[in-house]
Amino acid sequence: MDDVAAAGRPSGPVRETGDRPLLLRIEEMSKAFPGVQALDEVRFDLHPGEVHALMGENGAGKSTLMKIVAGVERPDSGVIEVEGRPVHLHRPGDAQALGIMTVFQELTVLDNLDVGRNLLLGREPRRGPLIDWSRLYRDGQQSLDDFGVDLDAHRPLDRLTVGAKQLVEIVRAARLEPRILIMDEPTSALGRREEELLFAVVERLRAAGVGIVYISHRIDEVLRIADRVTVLRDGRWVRTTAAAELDRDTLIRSMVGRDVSDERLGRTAAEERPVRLELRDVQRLPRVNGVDLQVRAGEVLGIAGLVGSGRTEMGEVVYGVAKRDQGSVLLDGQELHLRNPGQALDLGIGYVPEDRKAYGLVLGMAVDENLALPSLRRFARLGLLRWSALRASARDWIQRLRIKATSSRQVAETLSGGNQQKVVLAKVLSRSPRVLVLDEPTRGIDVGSKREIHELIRSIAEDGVAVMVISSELPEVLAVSDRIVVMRGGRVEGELDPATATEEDILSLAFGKGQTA
Amino acid sequence: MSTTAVGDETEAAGRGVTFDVRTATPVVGLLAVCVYFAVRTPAFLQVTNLRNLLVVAAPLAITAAAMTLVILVGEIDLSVGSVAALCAVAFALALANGMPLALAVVLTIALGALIGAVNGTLTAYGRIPSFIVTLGMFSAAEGASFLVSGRQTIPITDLTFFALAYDARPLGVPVPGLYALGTMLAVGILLRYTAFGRSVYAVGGNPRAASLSGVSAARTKLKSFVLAGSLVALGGLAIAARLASAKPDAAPTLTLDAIAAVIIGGTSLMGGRGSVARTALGVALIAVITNGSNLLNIHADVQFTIKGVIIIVAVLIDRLGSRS
Amino acid sequence: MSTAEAASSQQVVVERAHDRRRLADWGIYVALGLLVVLFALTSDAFLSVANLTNIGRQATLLMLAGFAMTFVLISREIDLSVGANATLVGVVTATALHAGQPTLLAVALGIGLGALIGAVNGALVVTAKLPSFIVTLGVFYILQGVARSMTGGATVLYHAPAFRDIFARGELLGIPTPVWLVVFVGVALHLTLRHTRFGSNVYAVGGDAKSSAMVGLRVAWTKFGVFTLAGALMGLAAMGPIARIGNARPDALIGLEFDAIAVVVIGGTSFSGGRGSLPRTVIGALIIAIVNNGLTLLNVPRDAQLIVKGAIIVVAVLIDRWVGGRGDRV
Repeated sequence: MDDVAAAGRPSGPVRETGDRPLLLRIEEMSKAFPGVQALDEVRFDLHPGEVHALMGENGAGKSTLMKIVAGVERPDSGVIEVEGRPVHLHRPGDAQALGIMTVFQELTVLDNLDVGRNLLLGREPRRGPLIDWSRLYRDGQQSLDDFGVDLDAHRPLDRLTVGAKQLVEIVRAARLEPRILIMDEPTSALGRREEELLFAVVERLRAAGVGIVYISHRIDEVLRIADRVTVLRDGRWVRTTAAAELDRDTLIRSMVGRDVSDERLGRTAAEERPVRLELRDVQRLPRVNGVDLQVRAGEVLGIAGLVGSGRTEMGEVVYGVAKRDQGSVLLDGQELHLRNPGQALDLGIGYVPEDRKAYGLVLGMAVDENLALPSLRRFARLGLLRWSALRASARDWIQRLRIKATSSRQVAETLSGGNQQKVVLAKVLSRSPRVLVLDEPTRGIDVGSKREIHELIRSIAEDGVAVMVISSELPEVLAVSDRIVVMRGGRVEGELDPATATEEDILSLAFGKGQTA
Repeated sequence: MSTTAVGDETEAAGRGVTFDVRTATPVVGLLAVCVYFAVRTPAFLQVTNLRNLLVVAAPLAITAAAMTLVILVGEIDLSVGSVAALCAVAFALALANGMPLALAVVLTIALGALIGAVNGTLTAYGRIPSFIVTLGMFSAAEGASFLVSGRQTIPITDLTFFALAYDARPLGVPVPGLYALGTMLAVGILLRYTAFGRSVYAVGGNPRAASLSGVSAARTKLKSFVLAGSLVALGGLAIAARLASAKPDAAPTLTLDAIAAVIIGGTSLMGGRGSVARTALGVALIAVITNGSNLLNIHADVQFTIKGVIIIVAVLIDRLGSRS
Repeated sequence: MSTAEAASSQQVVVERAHDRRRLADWGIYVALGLLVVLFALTSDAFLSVANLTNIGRQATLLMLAGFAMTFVLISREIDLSVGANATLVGVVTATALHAGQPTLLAVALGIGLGALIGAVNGALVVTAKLPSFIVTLGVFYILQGVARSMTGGATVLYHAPAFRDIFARGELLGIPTPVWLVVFVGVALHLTLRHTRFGSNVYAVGGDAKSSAMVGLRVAWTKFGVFTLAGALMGLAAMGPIARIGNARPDALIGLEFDAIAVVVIGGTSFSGGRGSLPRTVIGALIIAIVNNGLTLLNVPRDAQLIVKGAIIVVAVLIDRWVGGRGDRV
C-alpha cells in the first residue's frame, strides 16, 4: 500500500480516556464567517474503531467542523489533538499526512481520467521520473477487490454511474489506511446495493481500528451504523450520546429544539378531478426510458426512486429544459412541444430546480429582482421597468411565504437555505402555474423550514394546481403526497397510497418487484 | 463566492455607485493622474486641451459603453478596434461613392450590428468562448479593412457630416462629447430601467438560473452583442469625424483602451456586476493618461505598456473586491 | 425495463459520444489528406521540394508554439501573450548577438526571458487567481510596448553565423536542424505530459481543479509550471524565425498566439480542459502550415488569409462542441 500515509504519524505519549486512547479531540472550537457564527465552542472526540455520527440541521456547523479537521478551513480558536498531540492544519495535505482522509459530499473524482488513475491520483508509483503504469493499475485493482467493489480499474470515469463514482471516491480514501475517515453524506448518491457495499467498507475499517466520522441527515441509517451520535444546533454542541440510547424523536427534538411529528398531510382525492399533466411513453435516453403518468389538478404526486432512476431528467423534460427523444407530454390534453423554459412558463408550467444556488437564483441580485425575473416584461410599460410595482409585488410575496429577509433589496446570496428556496418558490408561483414540478424541494434545509415548505406545497395544491414533487427523502414523499409513483431505471415501477404505504414499500418498488437487490 | 457587502444590494441593481475598493480605485486613480499631469505640464489644464481631451475620448466612451454591455452579460469582445476601423472605412467608401450621408450612417451602423450578430451567434448559439470568436473576428475585420481599402487612407469631405459630428459646439461643448455622453446615458438607462437591462445582469450573474426563469441566456447575449456592434460602429464614425478620413489601423489601441476603461471602472469580468457610470470613470482615467502622456511626449509604445499594466492591476482589484 | 437494460441504454449514449470523438479524431487525418490533394491539384508549385521544405519550416514554428499552447489548454487556461513573448525574445536575442555575445549565452538569455514571462503569467494567474485570458492579454500589451520601445520600431540586425546554422540553416544526416530540435523537444514533452506525475497533474487540474486540490494535488504549482514551461518553449520557438531571416522585427510574431490556438484546437485539444495530446497538435500544425502555404501559392491576398484562418478556428471549435456533448440542453 502507500507509504505517504504511513509517514508523519506522531509518536509519543497519548492522552488516555477510560481505556481507549482518543484518536481525535476537539475542544472549544469556534469559527465565524461574515455574518454568522458557524461554530461556537464545539467539542467532539473520536475513539479508534468507532463510528461517531455528527448530526444537526443545515447551518448547525457539521460541515464546517469537519472541513476544519480536513484542513480545508481554519478555526478562529480551539484545540485539535490527534492521538493526544495538538496539531495545526493549514491545508488538506497536512490533514492527510496525519492520516485524516475525507470523503466529501460533492464528488471529487475526475471524469477525464479512469478509475485506476483516480484511485492513485497524486500518488502514482514511479520508476525513476516516469509513472509505472502497470503497478498503478495493479495496485488500484487490488484495492477495489479488497473492498469488494466490482469495477475495472481501466474503466473511464465518465462511463460510470454517480453511485459508482462515489464508491471510487470512498475506496480512494479508504485504501490509504487512514486513521480517521470523515464521510459527509456518503449515501446521498448511492443506490441500495451500493449502500450495503459502503456499510461493508465501514465495518472493515472499524475492525481495523479506524475512527469514522459519519455526517448524515438519514436518521435510520445513523441509528443503525453509529456507536455514538453528536448533535449540533446553531453552531453549538447539544449532546453526545450512545446511539443505542437514542430514538428518532429524541434525535429530532435535539436538532430542532421542538417536537416535529411526521404527520402525513396528503389525502386521497375523493372527487374526480381533471388530469392536468400527462406523460405518455416519454423517453430521453439514457435516463428516461418510457414514463407514463398523470397528475390531476389539485393533487400532489410524489415521485420517489433511487438516484439514477431518471426522475430529475423527467422533470426537465416536462419543463422544456431537456428535449425528449420519444413520447409526448400533454397539458390539459394538448400535446406540448417545448423548446425552452420560457415557453413552459407561458403555458403555465412551473419548475423549482434541484440546486437552488446553481440553478434557482441569481445570487448577486436582490430578492425582488430574482422574484421578478420570470415576469420582467409584465413590469415594463413602454419598455421601461416600473420599479415601484416590482418592489411592491416582491414585498407581497415575502409576506405571503414568510420569507425572512431584511428587505426586498437584500441580496439573495445572504439568505439562509430555507429562505432562498422560498424565494425560488415565490418566483415560480408569481406566474400562476397550473402545473408545478419541484425537484428535491427541501434538500439541505432545516427541519422547521422543511415543514413550512411542505405546508406551502399542500396549499398550492389546494388552489387547484397539479403538483409533482420529486424527492429522495422518503419521509418527505410520504408526508406531502396524495399519491406516490416510484420510478426505477427510467420507468414507473409502481404506485402507492401514502395513507397506507411505508418507506419499505417504496424502497421495495425502487429496487424492482421480485428482484433481489 | 463569499458574502457580499451591504452596499452591494444597490450595486446589483446598478442603482448608484457604492463606496468600496472597486469605486475608490478609479476615483483615486483619476484624481491622481490629473494632479500628476497638471503638475508636470501647464498645458494639461488649458481649456483647449480639455476640449481636445473630450473630443479624443468620445470614440472611446462610445466603444467602452459597448464593451460594458458585453462584459456585463459575461462575455468579452476583443474585436472592437478593428470593427470600428472597418466601419469607418466602409462609411468613408460609401460617401466617396456618392451615397447620401443619412443612408451611409444607417448602413454603417447596420454593418456594426451585423458583425455583432455574428459574434453573438457564434458565442451564444455556437457556444464558443467569446474571446476566441472575437479574436477571430478581430483578425477577419482587420483583413477585411485592408482588402476593402486597398491599404489606403480614404479621405472624407462631407461638410454636413463634419458639422453635425465634429465642429458643432452647442453651449460651448464640442458635439462629440455630447454624443458620447448621450450614448452612455442611453445605455445606462437601458441597463437600469428596462427588462432587457435586468436580463443582462441576470444572465451575467447566473445564466442557468436566468434561463430557467424564462430569460433566454442566448438571446440576451446575442442582443447584447448586436447592440454593442452598433455602438462600435458609432465609435468608428466618431473616429472618422475626428480624423476626417478612414484607414484600417485608425484605432490601434481602441480594444485595449476599452477593456482597460471598463475593468478599471469596476465592472466585473465575471459578469453581472457593474455599470456604465463606472465605465465613464474608467474612460476618463484612460483618456487622461493618453492625453497627458502625449503632452509629456511619452511614446505611444510606452503607453501600451502602461495600459497593459493598468488592465492587470484593474483585474487584481476586481478580484480583491470580490472577496469580502 | 430492468436495470441492466437501463444501463445499456445509458451505455448507448456514452458510446455515441465516444464514437463522435473517434470520428473527429479520424477527421483531422482525412482533412490533412484532402488538403494535400486539393493544393497539389490547384497549384503546380505545391509539391516541389523547395515548397515542402518551406512548409516543414513553417510547421516547426507552429509545432513549438502549439506544444506550449497544448499544455496551457489542457490545464484549462489560455495564454494570449505567446506571440508577444516570442517577438520580444527574438528582439532581445538578436540584440545580444549583435552585441557580440556568444551564441550559447544569447540563447540561454532568450529562453530564460521567455520562461520568466511565463512565470509572471503563472504567478498572476495562480496567486491572484485572475482569469488567464485577461492576464495574458495585459501581458501581451505590455510586452508589445516593451519590444517596440526597445527597438524604436526598427529592425534589429545581427551577425552570428553559428547561431543561424544551429537554428535554421544546418543539417544533420540530411535533415534540417530545426526538425531535429522539434523532434527532440516533442518527444521530451510527450514523455513529460503522458508519463510523469507533473503531466498527470496537468490533466487532473484541467479536468477539475477544485477536486484536484481537495485530493491534495498542488494545483497552483502545476499551473505555474505550465505557464513557465509555455514561456520557455516560446523563447525557444523565437530562435527559428530570427535565425532564418537574419534579423528581428518588433512585430514579427504578433498573431502567433492565434495560430497556436488554431493548431491546438484543430488537433483536438479542448477548451474545457483535461483532454488533448501533443502528437495531435503536430497534425494540427501541419494542417495550418499547409493551409497558409497553399493559400499563398494560390495568390490569395494575405488579408483574406486572415479571414480564412478566423473561420477555420471557429469551425474547429464548433466541431469540438459537437463532439463534447449534447447541445440541446439549456
